[in-house]
Amino acid sequence: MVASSTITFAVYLVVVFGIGVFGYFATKTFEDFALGGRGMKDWVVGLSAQASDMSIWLLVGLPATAYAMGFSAVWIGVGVICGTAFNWFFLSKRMRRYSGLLGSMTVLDFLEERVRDDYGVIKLVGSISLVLFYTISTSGEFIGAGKILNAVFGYTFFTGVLIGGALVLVYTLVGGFIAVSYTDVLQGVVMAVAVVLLPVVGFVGIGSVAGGLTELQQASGAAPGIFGGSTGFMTLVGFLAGTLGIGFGYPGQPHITVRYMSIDDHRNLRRASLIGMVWVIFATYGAIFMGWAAGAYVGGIENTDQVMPLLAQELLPGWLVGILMAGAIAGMMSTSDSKFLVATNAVSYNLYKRFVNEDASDRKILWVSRAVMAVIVVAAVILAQPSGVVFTVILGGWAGIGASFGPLLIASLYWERLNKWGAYAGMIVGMVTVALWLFFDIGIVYELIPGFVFASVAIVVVSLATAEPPDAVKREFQDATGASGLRVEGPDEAGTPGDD
Amino acid sequence: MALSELEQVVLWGPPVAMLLVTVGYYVRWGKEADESVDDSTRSQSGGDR
Repeated sequence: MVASSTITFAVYLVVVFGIGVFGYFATKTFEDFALGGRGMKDWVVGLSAQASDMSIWLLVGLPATAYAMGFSAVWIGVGVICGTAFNWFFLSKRMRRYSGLLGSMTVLDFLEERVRDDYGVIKLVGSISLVLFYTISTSGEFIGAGKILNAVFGYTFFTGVLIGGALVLVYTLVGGFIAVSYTDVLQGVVMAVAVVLLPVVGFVGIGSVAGGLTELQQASGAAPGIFGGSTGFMTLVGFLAGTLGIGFGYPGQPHITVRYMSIDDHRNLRRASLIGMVWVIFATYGAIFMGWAAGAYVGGIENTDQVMPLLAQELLPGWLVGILMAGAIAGMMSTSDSKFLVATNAVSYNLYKRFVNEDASDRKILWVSRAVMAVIVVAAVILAQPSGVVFTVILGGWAGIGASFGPLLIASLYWERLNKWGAYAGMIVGMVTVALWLFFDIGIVYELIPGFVFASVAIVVVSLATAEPPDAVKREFQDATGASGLRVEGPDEAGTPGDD
Repeated sequence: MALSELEQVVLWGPPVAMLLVTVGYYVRWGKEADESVDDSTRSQSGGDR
């Protein structure tokens, strides 16, 4: 089994690296590297936004959590699809149009221009937040890689982590945005096959959903009931905040929202949203069903992160196991490289070019990006420990980014009165709240919820307590949101980087 | 053994509802939003600052 799975695993990775080499030759400028030249097609944006979102969290973390939680894991699915829907239906078009108008190439770029941050605070704080929390969540991805490669191929955990880190590093160093987007499409397809195939095969053997859940309760000790045995009002609120609350993180994830900025025409986001939403609904619920099915086949697992690889080995032939494991590793690569791309661009373009070398050429910025990326990968590898749980570690990073950027991004697209002081306050409060919640292990409720709420309050209170934004900013807001009647949509009409 | 009615609703309700909303957005609401922007902006030109 190991031989055939190793062959298919290796073949898949060769294909991925082939796309990386293609991306290398297609990347000529920093805009190509960071935003794919703002010319990505709808199907690429639709699939790549979801694949870069989901990661190893989908194939490893979510089935493991569903295995442990039982039926109540269904609330995580509700949170995920609602958060994704908010992004596609309410955020994506405004984001594309507004960033096109401002000529922004990164999310931080956009936020700075939006509030006329002439002090550079947003880029400074945002870059710190991106590097800090992306490193945390990426270490969660590497934990997943270590556990998968251990379960299927027998490597030690740390060897698996090193292999995962090396794959991501080499791959992203080569490609940039173009390669990342196209491999995300391929990986999105493989991940979709995995989350449909495994639960279908599993439940065909079991016979019914209820039967699978009954066996799961015996195997994993998962609590029965739609709220997982939560009793009392506060416990129930905490439970729902921790499951549905994941959805609050969606608006603030720059590695996802930057995909909207990359599409060739904002009107094509409608089709991209159809592709993305169908994918996320099937993928999320497929992963949950996968965890539920596991109880009947591989009960009594101590390390729940190995639910998916063990289930695949139990149900599928070796060559198919190899492809699915490659799909999981691909999930890690697709998300990690997307995050590295955003974080390194933040440092190289927003900090290096702004504060260190204003005259830096595109080529030089490109190489600074690649150097920073290498440093972040090494940090994430060092942070990856076998005691870590994929689901929890990744959601910690998710919360930090979601609270730092989410409320601010929503306000920047929907609230004309937002000013730079409110933006500073929201970003800092969101980041610090989550960091403190994690550092002191406060618990009580998922850290994203207090981070999001406090940041939102800070944005509103500080903006209202300080001067209104300049008239030029207000006019710009009205132009970008369509309130003024000015046409700003489309690649030909919208401002492109450097034209302002 | 089968899931209770409440469990059926909690399990299948959200994904089915969201699929319907997504299709509705694609064929109607999102399209209308695009068209309304185009209509309201037809008389204007440019977008560059």
